[in-house]
Amino acid sequence: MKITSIETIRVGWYPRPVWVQVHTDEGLVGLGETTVSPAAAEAVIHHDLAEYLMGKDPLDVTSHHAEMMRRLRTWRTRDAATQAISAVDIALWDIAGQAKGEPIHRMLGGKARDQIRIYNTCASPAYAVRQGTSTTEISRPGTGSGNEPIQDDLQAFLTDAGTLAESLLAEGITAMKIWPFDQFAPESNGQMITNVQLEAAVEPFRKIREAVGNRMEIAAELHSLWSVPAAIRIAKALEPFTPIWIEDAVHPSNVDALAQVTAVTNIPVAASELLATREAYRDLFDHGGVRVCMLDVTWVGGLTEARAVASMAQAAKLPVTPHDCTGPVNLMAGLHLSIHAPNTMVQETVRSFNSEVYPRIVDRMPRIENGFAFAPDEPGLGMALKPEFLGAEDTVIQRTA
Amino acid sequence: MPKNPPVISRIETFRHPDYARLIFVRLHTSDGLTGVGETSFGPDAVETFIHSEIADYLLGKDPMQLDLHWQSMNRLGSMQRSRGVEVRSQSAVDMALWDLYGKRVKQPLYQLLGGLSRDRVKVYNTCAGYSYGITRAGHVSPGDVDFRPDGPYEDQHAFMTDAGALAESLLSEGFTAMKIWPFDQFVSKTDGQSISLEDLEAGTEPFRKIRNAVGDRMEMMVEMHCLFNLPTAIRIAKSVEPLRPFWFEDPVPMDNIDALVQFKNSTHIATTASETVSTRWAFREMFEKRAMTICMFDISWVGGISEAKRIASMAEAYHLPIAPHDCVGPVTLMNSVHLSLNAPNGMIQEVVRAYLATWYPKIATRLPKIENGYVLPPEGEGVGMELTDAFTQGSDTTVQVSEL
Repeated sequence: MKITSIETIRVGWYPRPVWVQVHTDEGLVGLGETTVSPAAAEAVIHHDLAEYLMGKDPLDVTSHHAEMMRRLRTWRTRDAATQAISAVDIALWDIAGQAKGEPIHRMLGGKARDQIRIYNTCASPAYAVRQGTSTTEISRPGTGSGNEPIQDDLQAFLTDAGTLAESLLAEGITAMKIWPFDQFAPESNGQMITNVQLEAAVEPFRKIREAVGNRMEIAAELHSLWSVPAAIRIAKALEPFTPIWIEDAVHPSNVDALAQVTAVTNIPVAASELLATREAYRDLFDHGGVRVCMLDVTWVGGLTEARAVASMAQAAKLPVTPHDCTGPVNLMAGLHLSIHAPNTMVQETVRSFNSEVYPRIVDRMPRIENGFAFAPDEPGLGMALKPEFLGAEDTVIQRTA
Repeated sequence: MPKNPPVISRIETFRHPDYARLIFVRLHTSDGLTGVGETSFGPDAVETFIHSEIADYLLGKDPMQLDLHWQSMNRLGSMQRSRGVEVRSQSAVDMALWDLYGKRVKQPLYQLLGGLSRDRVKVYNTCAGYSYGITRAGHVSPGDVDFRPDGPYEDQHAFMTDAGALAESLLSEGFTAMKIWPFDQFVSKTDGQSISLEDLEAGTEPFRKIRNAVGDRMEMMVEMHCLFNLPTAIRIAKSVEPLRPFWFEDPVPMDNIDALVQFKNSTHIATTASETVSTRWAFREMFEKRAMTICMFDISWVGGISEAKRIASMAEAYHLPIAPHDCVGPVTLMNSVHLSLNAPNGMIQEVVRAYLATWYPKIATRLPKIENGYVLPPEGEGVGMELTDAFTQGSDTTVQVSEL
């Protein structure tokens, strides 16, 4: 089998992802995806990767991954090149699975479980389709989409977190992630948080505990916005609410700084989807004091790299939890890893994206019931881009053959 | 802050197929000033990033808020630690902002950085041929020699064949230090995982030839291009060590700084690293782990002149000298010369005589003045050079514009 062409697909209404379709002479089509810098990643795919990939046997996934990483030589960061490689790598795994008639989790080494607990990241659909990269803008009360979205979990956690927790529990979801601290970061560029702001930001955690007690696990997302003393102050304020983890407390560009936060709190520190490549995670595990390994399959270097990182986390006796909140392929690829890896803790999902955004793009979604996501059983990734999505007027396809 | 300051009104990028790995950026302000910058590798992706994410942010902004723009651009991709597309794009734009700053206050860049710490700085010659790396499109395998014997400076071919004569030629022009990479040619045999004794001997031979030809009058730098695993890198170092090279550069990949520390601790020769690393956060780890003895960075990859100045100061705190990289393009070289003259710990500046003699003058209106193995302070305001009209207006030049 040979790779014959590579397409990238972007769409105006959902500006952050770029999808990749790798075509073969046997008619199999592999699907991949990445986000953050879609235009630059697209350029990398067509100008820097296509030349190498064309005519290659797609089944030699590991060697293609190594050669792509070697050629672009971007150490330890989820830059546009690593994003591009991640997307292509997922597409190659998709082809390999289809060629062998097996779901990707089987290709990775098989199932560690039939289902994995999920948590809900409380974003609104507007959070998915926003322009730019700011995490703080959208989460200020009163901003968001102009027309009121149907399921706005972001507004809900800022205003009525207790009711939101009850709504999630009613669906069987027993863990949720919120980021009420973000709104206060711009004022000081993340250098300090006042006691007044702290009190306001922990209020949603208090409301959740008051409404549903300990039946709900709560993850605190800090989005790498804070200095070390501010992050420590936030961690100490959260301790009485026993969150399941505190995520990206400081930027992982300095793992020693992260270790300072870990050292003073009993809340498990989770980090970080912002890292890419196994070498960056080695440093994090050795020096960062991280307790929960968060990774994003579409940024870290694809499924090849994600599997390696998960194995390293296993050796460090740490659980792994794949990121979503970006796109449907990331969710599905993350789920294959979650089903496969013995040390998976929980899989991130976003119910508002799953109900209102992703079904517009892909033909099949993971089965999620009663707070668990189930092992996909179709060959390969188990999803494809919808023909009507590919054919839509504002869908732009670029092709190298 | 001033009311109604001039704003950035136009961003241009320039590419040309003869320099397939380079991209140049020129910023314009609403009051008619311009500033130039440059970066290299993956120019298609850089061009895309500049005209999408960066233009979206930068157009309409006050060009004098350099630190704010640095942080804001860096957050566009939440990029730290590697010379990715985003940091390379930002580096080019940062250089152009400093050039604008210099022209606005009518001072040379070295003055803006704090003035001259010396009136000249020593250079070394990187022994590349005319077309090494930058000017060839596509993937280049380690050790490839693109021999075009149409001029006097096919220095890569020379060091592979007759390194002693090359050293004599350099000395006759005043150069007293040179960098070569004769081990690259063996990488593809094992993907850098090992090196045979025969290859080790062949790779060491050019260094021996230089010593035999010119004795101690020439300093030799060993470039290893991050191509070897740790034991192979140490084996190479031990083989060249008796010939007293000046430094070993980029012995192992820069994705594991603890491995670099192991290399450094294995030899008394200086370890230089690394142009492949970007931003202060990555260098912090290298400094704290005592991973290098000479701090090398590339201004067009590290995060621009802003970040290079900050990292140079960090190196100073560790009593380490800096050695800015060239072998990329004329704008990067000129920026590097300003910093090498300014930084109290400036030690030596990389130049490539083959480039200076041939294609750099086609792109830049003025080049650094090199006399007798030293480079002198550039004249003019800002970085002190413009892109030539012949280059920016050439029929094969691709120009892309974003404007208010």
